[in-house]
Amino acid sequence: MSNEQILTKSAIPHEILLNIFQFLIRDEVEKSQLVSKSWNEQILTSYKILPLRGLYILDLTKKSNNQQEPEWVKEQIAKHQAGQPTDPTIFRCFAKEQISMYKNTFISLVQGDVYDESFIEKMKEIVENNEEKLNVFRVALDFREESDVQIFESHLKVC
Amino acid sequence: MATESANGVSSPELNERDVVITTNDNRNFTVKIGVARVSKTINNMIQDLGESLDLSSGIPLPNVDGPIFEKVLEWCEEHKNAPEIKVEQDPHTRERKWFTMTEWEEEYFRKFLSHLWDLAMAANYLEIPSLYYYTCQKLAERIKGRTPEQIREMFGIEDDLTEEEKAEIRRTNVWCTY
Repeated sequence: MSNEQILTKSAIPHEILLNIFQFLIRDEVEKSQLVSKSWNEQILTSYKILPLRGLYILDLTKKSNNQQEPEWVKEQIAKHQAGQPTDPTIFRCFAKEQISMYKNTFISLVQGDVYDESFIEKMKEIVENNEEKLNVFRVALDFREESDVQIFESHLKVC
Repeated sequence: MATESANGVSSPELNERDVVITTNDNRNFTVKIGVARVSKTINNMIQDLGESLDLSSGIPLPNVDGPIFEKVLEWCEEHKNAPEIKVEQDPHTRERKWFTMTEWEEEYFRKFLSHLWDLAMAANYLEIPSLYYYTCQKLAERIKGRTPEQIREMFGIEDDLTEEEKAEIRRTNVWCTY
């Protein structure tokens, strides 16, 4: 990676900085808060329009045997099997400490590329212990809002 | 001469005519109207002036300097017939979809890498959506995967957050690994 400097004599307008952050995933935006006071303030004042973290959560309705996987799951699995990069946001909804809560649940094993080995091992364990099949679908949440946490929790009843 | 009015937006004949554009360092650029019009700001000026437009006396650009305008013009020349870009985002996460750039565009940004901020500001002022969004994407690409320290170094930004403030940011952003 080249480390060429990119400088300017002018102050960078808020609008441009926001436009840049809109291209980034949430983790990158939050990392950028650590750059400077000004970046931190600009991100905080606009976090409502900045990207949210994509989450794959569980819907605890039982899945019948002949029910098809949702299209996006098939897509991700196909990509994974072909060795192509998959959606990095998959699985990231589960904080490591929370994972043990989800016993007896099944998650379609869709692999991303931004997690560590222990995280995956834990996920596999849950999948292996599974007895019930579940639909998986995608929502986006921002945990800064109390109501979002409630929605999240209401979907994640432990069997 | 009314037929030569600059209001004839789609007139191919008008697009071939020259207009003089003066940057804030008093440099004059003689540009084909069809190229200058890639900038919506300049296009509006041409249209507003209409028949009173004196193509030889020049359109002033008080917010752009010569060296940057030269680079912007290279983009305009290449994109004079390009369709409007479409800005798309994921309806759930609001993440913006990344644009696929042509080899020419990639090379353009490689060449002018150290001027990305100035290009973004000029493209914003001149209202050239393709250049503006693509430059912002290139800046996002520079931020992606780099540590806050590397970003500060790259952009010459002072590290003015206290350790307490940084700790607080990390505490509120539980996913943040930096």
